[in-house]
Amino acid sequence: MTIEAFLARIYTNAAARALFLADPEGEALRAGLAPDEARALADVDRDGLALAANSFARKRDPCRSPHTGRGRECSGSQR
Amino acid sequence: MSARDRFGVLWRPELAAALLLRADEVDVVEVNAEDWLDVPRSRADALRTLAAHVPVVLHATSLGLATGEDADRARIDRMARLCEIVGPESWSEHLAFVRGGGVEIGHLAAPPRTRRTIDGLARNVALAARVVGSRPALENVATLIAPPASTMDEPSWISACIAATGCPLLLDLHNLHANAVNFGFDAAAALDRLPLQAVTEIHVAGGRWITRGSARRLLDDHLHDVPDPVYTLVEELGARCAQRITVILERDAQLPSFDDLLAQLARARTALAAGRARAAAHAA
Repeated sequence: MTIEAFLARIYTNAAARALFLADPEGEALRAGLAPDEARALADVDRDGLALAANSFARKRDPCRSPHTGRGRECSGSQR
Repeated sequence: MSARDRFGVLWRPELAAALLLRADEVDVVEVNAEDWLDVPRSRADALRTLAAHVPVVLHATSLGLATGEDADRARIDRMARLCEIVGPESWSEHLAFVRGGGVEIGHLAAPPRTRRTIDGLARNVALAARVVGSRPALENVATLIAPPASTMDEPSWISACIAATGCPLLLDLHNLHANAVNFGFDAAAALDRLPLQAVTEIHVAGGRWITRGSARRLLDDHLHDVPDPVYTLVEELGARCAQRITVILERDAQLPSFDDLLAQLARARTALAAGRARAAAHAA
């Protein structure tokens, strides 16, 4: 698994995120990340992870246009 | 201020009439590419008509070039098709990834700031440039999370990205401001460490504060007016850059009147002029 794949998973999957937050380095190693990448994830920005995951979830919310991510403005752009 | 500087807005359908009737007050229009990637040729032709009347820059959000993974070739092909139809003056993408391992994140995510993502970006940009026929300008992104597993700070990583790709830098000053207040660095000082000679375009926008427990972060939402610190950064940029700059005001929704948008552009124009004047006075 690439680190981008791992990040995409914890950004979009609440269960995977909870497992990660319980043991960041261990969960990263179990996902197949290199030891240096796993160590680098140990001090993840926990507040930022929660806020970012929430923001991404709103982007995927069906109230927004599937075409553009827009529509009823639930969360804003962040781009 | 250089007479060559240009000022424009993000295309929104609600602005169509105003842009048509007051075309002389806007130099350039930015268009979100994702709004048009999948439309029939007949609809995309309308955008070509717009491009015949005012310079259009296409702004993409879904290619996800800044990643160690390979970019999605099919999306690049669709971007190339749109560019071929519309004939934009230029196009741009973000220094972000939007998917990993087949999982769509839903929006722009700041990648780990590492040598690996710089190398991946360079590969993906080379492919995109070959398929589309021109290099994109690359935009710094706002992030709510300190990019995990990073080994470089933001100015160092952006500088290396621009050096590795040879692309112009689209500097979003609200994104820079948001990251500065969220992660505790001085945005004006960061300007001194960015490759400002590569800047061709800047974005200005607004945002709002969001909280989680005691944590408070600025979200770049494009739904609010441009805040004062961003105009300050426009002036600081003007004091540091001699080249022509295109300034785009990005407002996605909750649109104020067109006069209000133009007033915000006028403030950006004044700020850029003040920075240029400072540089001229210092040089004299």
